[in-house]
Amino acid sequence: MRLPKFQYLEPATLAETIPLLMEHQGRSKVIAGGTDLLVALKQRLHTPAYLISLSNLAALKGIREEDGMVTIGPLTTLEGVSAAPLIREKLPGLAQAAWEVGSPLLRPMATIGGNLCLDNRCRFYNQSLFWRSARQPCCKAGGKVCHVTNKENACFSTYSGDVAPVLIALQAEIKLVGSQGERILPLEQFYTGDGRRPNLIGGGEAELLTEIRIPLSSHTGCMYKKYRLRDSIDFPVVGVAVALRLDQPQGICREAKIVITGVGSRPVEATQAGEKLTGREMRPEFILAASETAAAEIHPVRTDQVGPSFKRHLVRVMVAEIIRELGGVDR
Amino acid sequence: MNYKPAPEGFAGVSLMKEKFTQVGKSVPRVDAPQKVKGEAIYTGDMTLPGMVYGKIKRCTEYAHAIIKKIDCSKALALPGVLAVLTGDEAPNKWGIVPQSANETALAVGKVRFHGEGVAAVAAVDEETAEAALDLIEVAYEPLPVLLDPFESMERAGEMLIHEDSPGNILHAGDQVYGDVDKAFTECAYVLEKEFRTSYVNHAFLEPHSALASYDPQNGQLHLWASSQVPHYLHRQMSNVLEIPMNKIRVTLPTVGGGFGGKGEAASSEFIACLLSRKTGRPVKVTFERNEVFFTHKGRHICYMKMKIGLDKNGYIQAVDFDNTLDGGAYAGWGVVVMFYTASMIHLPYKVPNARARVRRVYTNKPTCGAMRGLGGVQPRFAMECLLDELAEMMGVSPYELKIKNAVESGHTAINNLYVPHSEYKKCLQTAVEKSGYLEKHGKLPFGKGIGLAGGYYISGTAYTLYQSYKPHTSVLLRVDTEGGVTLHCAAAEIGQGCTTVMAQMAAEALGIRYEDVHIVLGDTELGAFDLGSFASRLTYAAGAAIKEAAAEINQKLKEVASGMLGCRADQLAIKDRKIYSMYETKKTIEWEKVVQACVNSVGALTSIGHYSPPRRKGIDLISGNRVQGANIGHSPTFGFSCQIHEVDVDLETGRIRVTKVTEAGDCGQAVNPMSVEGQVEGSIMFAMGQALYEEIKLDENGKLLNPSLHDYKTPTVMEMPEMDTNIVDSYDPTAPFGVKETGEGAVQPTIPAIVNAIDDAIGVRFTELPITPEKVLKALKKKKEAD
Repeated sequence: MRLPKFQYLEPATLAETIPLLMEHQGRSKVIAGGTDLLVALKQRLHTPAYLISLSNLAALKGIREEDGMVTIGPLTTLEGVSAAPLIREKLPGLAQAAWEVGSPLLRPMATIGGNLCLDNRCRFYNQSLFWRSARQPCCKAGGKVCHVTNKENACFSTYSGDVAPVLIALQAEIKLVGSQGERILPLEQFYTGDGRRPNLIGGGEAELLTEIRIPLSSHTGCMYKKYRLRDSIDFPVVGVAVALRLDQPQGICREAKIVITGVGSRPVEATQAGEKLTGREMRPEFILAASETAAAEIHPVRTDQVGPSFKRHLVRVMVAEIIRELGGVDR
Repeated sequence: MNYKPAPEGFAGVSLMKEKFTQVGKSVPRVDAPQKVKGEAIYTGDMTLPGMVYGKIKRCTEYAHAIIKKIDCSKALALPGVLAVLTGDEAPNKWGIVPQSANETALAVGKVRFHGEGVAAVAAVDEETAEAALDLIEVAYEPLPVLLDPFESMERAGEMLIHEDSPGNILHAGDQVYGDVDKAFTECAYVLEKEFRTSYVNHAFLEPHSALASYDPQNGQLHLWASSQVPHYLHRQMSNVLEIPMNKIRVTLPTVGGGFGGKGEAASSEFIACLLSRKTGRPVKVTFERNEVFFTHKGRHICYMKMKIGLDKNGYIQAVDFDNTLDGGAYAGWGVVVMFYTASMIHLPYKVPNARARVRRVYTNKPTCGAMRGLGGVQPRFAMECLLDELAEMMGVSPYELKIKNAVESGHTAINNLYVPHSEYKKCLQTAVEKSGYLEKHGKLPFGKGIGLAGGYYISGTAYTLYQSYKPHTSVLLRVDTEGGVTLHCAAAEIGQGCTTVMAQMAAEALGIRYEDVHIVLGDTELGAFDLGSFASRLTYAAGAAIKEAAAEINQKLKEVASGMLGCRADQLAIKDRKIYSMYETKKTIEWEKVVQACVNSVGALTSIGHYSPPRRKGIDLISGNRVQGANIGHSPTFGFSCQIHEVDVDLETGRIRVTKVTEAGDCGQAVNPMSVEGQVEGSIMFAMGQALYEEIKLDENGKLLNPSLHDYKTPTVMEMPEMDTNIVDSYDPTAPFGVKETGEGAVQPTIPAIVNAIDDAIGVRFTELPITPEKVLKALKKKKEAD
């Protein structure tokens, strides 16, 4: 497959980038690592007139820590995130999630910002133009009907990023910069839950993700587990991130955030499951209750090769496993 | 100088195990550095002056439909488009089996599967060619889509996929040897089960690519193609284009894997040639990955019923086999694959009574064809699993049962298959000892298991696919003072390593070093005849031809050297680039000096060696009657293999992990042990994909759901188990250099070994592939409910 024709723009600074985003709004795509975008372009999921490259924006790269907050530039590669000593030491769950993305050939190219902006996926959407031409366009591709559910005007495409669940569990914030200035918001608010336009800037808005901030004090332990059909290349069938704040090792849980990927149109937080743990000791019956609740809180549809009931089963198993490991509870 | 050496034994080979210096060494592959550095030239890398691009318009709408009308006028009017092509312009049928050839370069009259080509364009660049495809208008009248072979047979009265194939059956046949029913009545243990195998593709890395250059001045056509079978391609191209073979030259650039998928001609090749003839310009057609899945030719989906009976001592008395092969839309290798599945029940065990009833059915799916271990993998799965269960019924180890029934050297099966040499028992013993199978089987904790399976494969076939008595491989050796030694053969290096192996065998036969031999392969004009890279035939066939050719060269050199050394020619030996007297060791001379003397007096030395396989007939040994299709399965010799797989089944997620594989193989004398190891490890990964991960999926209309390497799940390096591969000590005295196959035999035991290991782990016997985590969880749940 070949790329469609486009003009390649390479602004030198962030200040130059925003006006370009404004000027070409609706007919441009931003390219960072390009590992997801180039495939989508080859499949003609997008045919933008312009690609606006961020490759010169060195200021958007790098990891630093100040005042109990880790700040990551969105152009930092996933390889860079997973290998950074600071992240490995203080945010091992994040290092793990970054390491689980794609394959070793992709991670040195793919950026963490790009991963957060990953478009939703569906077995009827992420296909070549030829494949899709055998059917009416689906809802996500501008058509009327969702081929998974046969419902009109509803898209059930699935968010499948590995990094966002961990960052949401860690209560990370992001900074968006646009012509109107900058705004800071919790990462969970970045995701819309609308499969057609799954995040605030994926629809070609003239805003750019410029910073990711992670507070270090929000948790005492965080872990990410990914289940996929093969242990490389594949997107998650299910990915589960859990961040716990315990008052002491193996003590009482003050806060629990459970965020799941691969099961809905956005990273899904199992809030009720989290509440089942809050104020409790790490005991098997509470862990079981939390995992059962988490499985009931998700509503997967068959957007990949795996059935919803299997996903629910995996969530039950994986949530329990992670909490046991974080809480130091034996099976 | 017309001396021809007298044949020693069969195929000009000696009967004693020889001491080798070049054969048996793990030398680096001669083609490896280029590939590792990314410098190898594949067809897709090539450009010729004036070259244009061909693209194929495929039917996306239906899996079965009459073509009412094709209008190419708008496409032809597009600037940059040089020609369009439709099926009517090349209606001659092609197919590797001439009796059932029923494919055309592009669909004629109707399409029979989703993605079939209906028209093609040649344009100055790929963009223009693709734009032109969109301008071609095709009107279809949809027909009922038959996806299930049983439904296809049932509804044949209402709808035929091919007018000339009643019942929607390509071919059906019964092979009956002995009295199977009577034998079962006398058996102490009888077990019958149904099995189904999955729809899998080879997933070779390089998609099909063809570059054709037709010279309108002299009518000469040159085709560069990614093929395993330059000869069969050559022959069929001649039929379709109606050009004599001597006006067509087929050249193989580097080929990026085949595994059977390039084991017959491909539509890309015909279309490139037809468009080149039409435009007078070189035309390149390279498939995209989804086109590889559409043109497919992968493993047949088999619906099998197998029944095995043992006497009270555990000796196999009878095997009854019923197989319905879902072959997809066209014939391809179908009839051959079908009869192979029938033949494969006769080995690697002694089976005194056997019956096979087989049929190969058309459906509206991409066509199945040849795939590594063709025809063997499916019945092996059934047989090795049944034997495992029978051993359980008897209360003995599967190892005991299998070794008791294993064939030995000199075995003649009841269908007249002759096994000149077998170390199968040694394979079983070695794998069992090295894996600790007997200590582990039935004794591991729930969720962990170990499984054993055996297998075998042919080392070449007995017959060409069209009626012919010609040798299957010819090798031309040329020795001179400029190029040194050059070996010319039209064989296909598809990554299996034949170049290196042929250099080693030629060097061995000529008494020189493998680095001294230049190998010219893959060109029907530069090389002497070869049938192609399939049926694990090349090492054996080329080895025999090389020995014959080298003997003649050696004789010429000895005659000259005898004058130079002052001793008799028949007392001379050639080894390590020296010619010397076997009795007077001081009489020795550099090999090169003798070559020089030879060339100075009579010019370059050349000789040609041939190989023709024995042509045994498929007969019923008891009645002496011919049995239809039973010539298929005969081979000059057979390779054997035993694999023991250890698995971990995650009881919570259903995921199966193969943790360790212990393999022991009888490949005769290994020419290059490192290459053997590569073939075996590759085989295991290849078959593991079918067992646990891979499956082509279709929707209810026959449209392919996962024609990409993202959605079609081949195992990655992360799924690779620890592998302990062992080459058992073996030497087939009837074979050149004692060799046998290794590229396909090791595919055979993998699936049943995994399935047997899963049974050992969780007490569930799976009979359908692939065994996905979802299926495992369901089975565990069912088992729990039953307990």
